[in-house]
Amino acid sequence: MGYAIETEKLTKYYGKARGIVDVDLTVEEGEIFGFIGPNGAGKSTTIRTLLGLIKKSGGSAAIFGMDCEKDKVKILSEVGYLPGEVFYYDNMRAIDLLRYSASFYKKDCTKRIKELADALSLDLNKKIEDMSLGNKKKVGIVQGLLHAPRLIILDEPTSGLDPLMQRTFFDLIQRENERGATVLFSSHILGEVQRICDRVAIIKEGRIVDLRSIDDLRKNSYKKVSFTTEQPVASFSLAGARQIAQDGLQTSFLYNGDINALLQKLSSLSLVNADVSEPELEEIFLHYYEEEAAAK
Amino acid sequence: MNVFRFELRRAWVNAAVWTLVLTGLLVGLIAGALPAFLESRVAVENMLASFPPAFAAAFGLQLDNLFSFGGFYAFGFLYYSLFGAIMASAIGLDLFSREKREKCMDFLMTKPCTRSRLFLEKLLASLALLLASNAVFMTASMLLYRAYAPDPLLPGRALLAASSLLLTELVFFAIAAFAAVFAKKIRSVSGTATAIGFAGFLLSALYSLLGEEKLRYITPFKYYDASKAFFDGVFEAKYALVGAVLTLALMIAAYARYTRADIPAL
Repeated sequence: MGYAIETEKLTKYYGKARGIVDVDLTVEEGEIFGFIGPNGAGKSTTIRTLLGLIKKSGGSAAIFGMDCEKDKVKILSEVGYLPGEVFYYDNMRAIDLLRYSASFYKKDCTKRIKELADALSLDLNKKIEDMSLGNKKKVGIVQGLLHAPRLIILDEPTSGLDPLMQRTFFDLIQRENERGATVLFSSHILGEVQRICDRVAIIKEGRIVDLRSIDDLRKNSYKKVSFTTEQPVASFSLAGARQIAQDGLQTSFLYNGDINALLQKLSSLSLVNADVSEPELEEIFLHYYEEEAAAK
Repeated sequence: MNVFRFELRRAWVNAAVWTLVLTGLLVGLIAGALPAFLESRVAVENMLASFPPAFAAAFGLQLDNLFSFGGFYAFGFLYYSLFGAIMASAIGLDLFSREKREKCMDFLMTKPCTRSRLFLEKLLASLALLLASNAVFMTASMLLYRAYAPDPLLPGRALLAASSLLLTELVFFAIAAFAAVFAKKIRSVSGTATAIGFAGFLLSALYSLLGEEKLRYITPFKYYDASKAFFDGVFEAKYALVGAVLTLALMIAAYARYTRADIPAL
């Protein structure tokens, strides 16, 4: 099976300003792929290049084996896109917008529009401009999914959604994924990526700095450790521990190494309490930024 | 042709209103004012003689043939052109900046449709509106011509004169479409269209005042002169050519930009 998305040295400059540089990405068919990085790192630029909204400056980009510029129309008929901020035509009911959207695809989408609207409890007869931000977003979601796309591209999709809606939204995305759709999902909030993604790429200042599976990232690399002792620990050190923070009787750090070594070290202390947990992605990724800062 | 239908549905009411205003003005001037105007020729001539000649020129009055159907009809063209220019500019701005104004470029541009096709369907919808509007204007012109012009009738010339409106509108449509595609932001369609139309009107007034031939090359109202068409049966080739080349050049530039430009994120 081919890749849903494959880019090689994909580069985009806006005049002299850096957009993205040498981005290599491969997203397999059927996976949910997370794309994270801070604002301005190049997530949107990458996505917009894939969608043919902007022209690349160099490299190559392909979706389902087709070139993103040459075969744009063919690709777009298989892609559903939800931008971060949703705006539509004035003075239009949701159903009119969705019908207009559906008219671009060579299939009948009426049934799916209704199903999706029901799942999101969206009133299709309301004018879009009178809707709340969350409801506008729902229109956007239905609009992106109504043609049962094989690839769903979501650019910061959860901004403006309340936690309950986010849950409904992720359930919907997961159902689409079970239906067979590949999902590319950009975000600067790591928690939501952690929630549904299989693999994740981290982009920073226009370049991909890491690409691995969520499991690998979480289970094999870092533990979040904190413990409290009866007496203050003079200066705690352990191979594989980083970001060591000591505050009175409490010590905490991120640990990457042999778990036995960690337990031996801990058992040599007289503990009041200890906690070993999986860190949030935020904490894991912090070190990319710290390394950067250290290099400067 | 879904984009074509969509654009027509959203734009036809405005075009219909402008067409009514334009045709109403034509009917009002010819059926309402022309007979009385011809009867009071002496009084009007005395009145105009008391104004400076430049004043009459600025308002499109050419005294040598004003007191005839053709002269009066052509005189009205300054105002038909003004209204037509505003309408055509509004159509060009509206259709070609719709997604930009309403911030949904991403929506339209990620549909499985080439940008050339989007541009073409928008262009066709615009032309359909302009042609329909002019069909009404021309029909009214021809009916009025039959009713009010003295024999012998030369319907070919009258039709050519009437077509001057469509051709002038095409120039303004192209200017507006060009502006819509190249501008970063279009704030108000009606405001900008009115400004473009009045700019055309002022250039025309300036040209009539100064009578400077060179000025005519940048005066779109005068590219296709209705008076010349009515009395001589032709447009002056060099100005008509400038008008046609300008229209085409602007449309080609707009097309190139529309089909190639990066769509910035919001």
